[in-house]
Amino acid sequence: MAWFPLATPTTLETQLNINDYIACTHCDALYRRSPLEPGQSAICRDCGAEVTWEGEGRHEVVLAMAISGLILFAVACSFPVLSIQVGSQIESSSLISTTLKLVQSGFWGLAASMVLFVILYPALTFIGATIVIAGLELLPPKRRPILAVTLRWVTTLMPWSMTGVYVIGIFVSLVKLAKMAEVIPGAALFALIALIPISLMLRTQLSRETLWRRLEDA
Amino acid sequence: MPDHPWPTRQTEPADQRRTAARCGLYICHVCGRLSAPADALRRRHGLACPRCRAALHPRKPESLHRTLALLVTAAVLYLPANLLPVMTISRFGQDEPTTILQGVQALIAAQLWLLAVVVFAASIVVPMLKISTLGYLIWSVRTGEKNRRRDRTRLYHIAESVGQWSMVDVFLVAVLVSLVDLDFLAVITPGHGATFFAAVVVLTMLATHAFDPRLIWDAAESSYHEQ
Ligand SMILES: [Zn+2]
Ligand SMILES: [Zn+2]
Repeated sequence: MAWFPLATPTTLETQLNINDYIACTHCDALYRRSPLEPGQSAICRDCGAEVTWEGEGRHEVVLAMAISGLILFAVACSFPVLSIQVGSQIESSSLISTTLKLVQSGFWGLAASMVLFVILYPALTFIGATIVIAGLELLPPKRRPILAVTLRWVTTLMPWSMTGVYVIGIFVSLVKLAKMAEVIPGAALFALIALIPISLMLRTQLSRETLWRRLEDA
Repeated sequence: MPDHPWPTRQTEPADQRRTAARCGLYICHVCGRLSAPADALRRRHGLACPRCRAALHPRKPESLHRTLALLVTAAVLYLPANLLPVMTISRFGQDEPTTILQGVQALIAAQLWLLAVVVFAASIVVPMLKISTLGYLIWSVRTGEKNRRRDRTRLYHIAESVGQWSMVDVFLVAVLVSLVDLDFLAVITPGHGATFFAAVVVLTMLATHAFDPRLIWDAAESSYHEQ
């Protein structure tokens, strides 16, 4: 890692290949790139944030996580999350019925939170990641701009998908209701629980830097 | 954790750091690519990233003002979020409105300590810490604080990562409302406190997003402002 004397803006840097450099998004420190092993990360020595990490060779993992995420997500949407039984009466709640109930009560803000953060954004992240990774392998370079758009919304939406938080909410309600009635966990609850490590893997194994570089090189 | 190729430096970084802004380079906030003005795309409203076409700015535009505006709105809405009931439990013809704090109290009364701690941390501690942390960061940038830049960047990191966990109570209400709808036993209806609370969480997340941690570093490095 060489440190150069301060350059005046524009002149020195533009003569060098810009792709040899990388900067920390948290403190703006500029580094000359050095090659990283797959899975290795570069930490900013000024602020301690991760500057980049090498995701080459992890694309299969990301694809596997994205596809299993999609399948589990389909399960989570089609079965009840929880049911309560009182006497012979059973009341079930699924992701869809929860949303509809909130719409019926006129609580649009809450319904929107459900639709966006629990249903739409997680689903779009899985679909988007699948499209990007599969597309890099299958699509001819001419069609790659679609992938750039997709990768852009995948990385934008990721912090807004809240499956894990929703599961905690379910657990709290499960415990709260257990005194009142018999609570039966549904297939969707197990799917949602399984989605937590999968979204986490997807989030940590997908290297934004590496994918963008691949997209540009193509 | 893999080995770091670049060792982390424990001492406070020097003021004359080599930064992208000082070299006249832009970092793309979407794809991380560096661009010199010469190779950036030209748009009506400024420069755009040649790789992903996102707008390029040396720093997030109007970062402090936007963060502050979102933060103040969040702080104001935090009051109705806590004072208004998040849900109403109707049992045997009696309505029992519950605020967030009353929900925590009920968990303590039922001796569900762990849940009480989780809900209290997610709904009360996290939003307050987030609002005060961002407030402090804005203030420290405004006053040109030069020390502890690394620690303040870390603080920002933490605020960024805990953001969505405050949504627990909102989702709890959503689940309870859809599940408990048994006329002979109990009916739970949502309250406006929950909507305000969801708004607070979204606003604080947007505020964190609007803040540019590089401003913490600029304070000690005058050259960016001179440009
Ligand atoms: Zn840094
Ligand atoms: Zn870009």
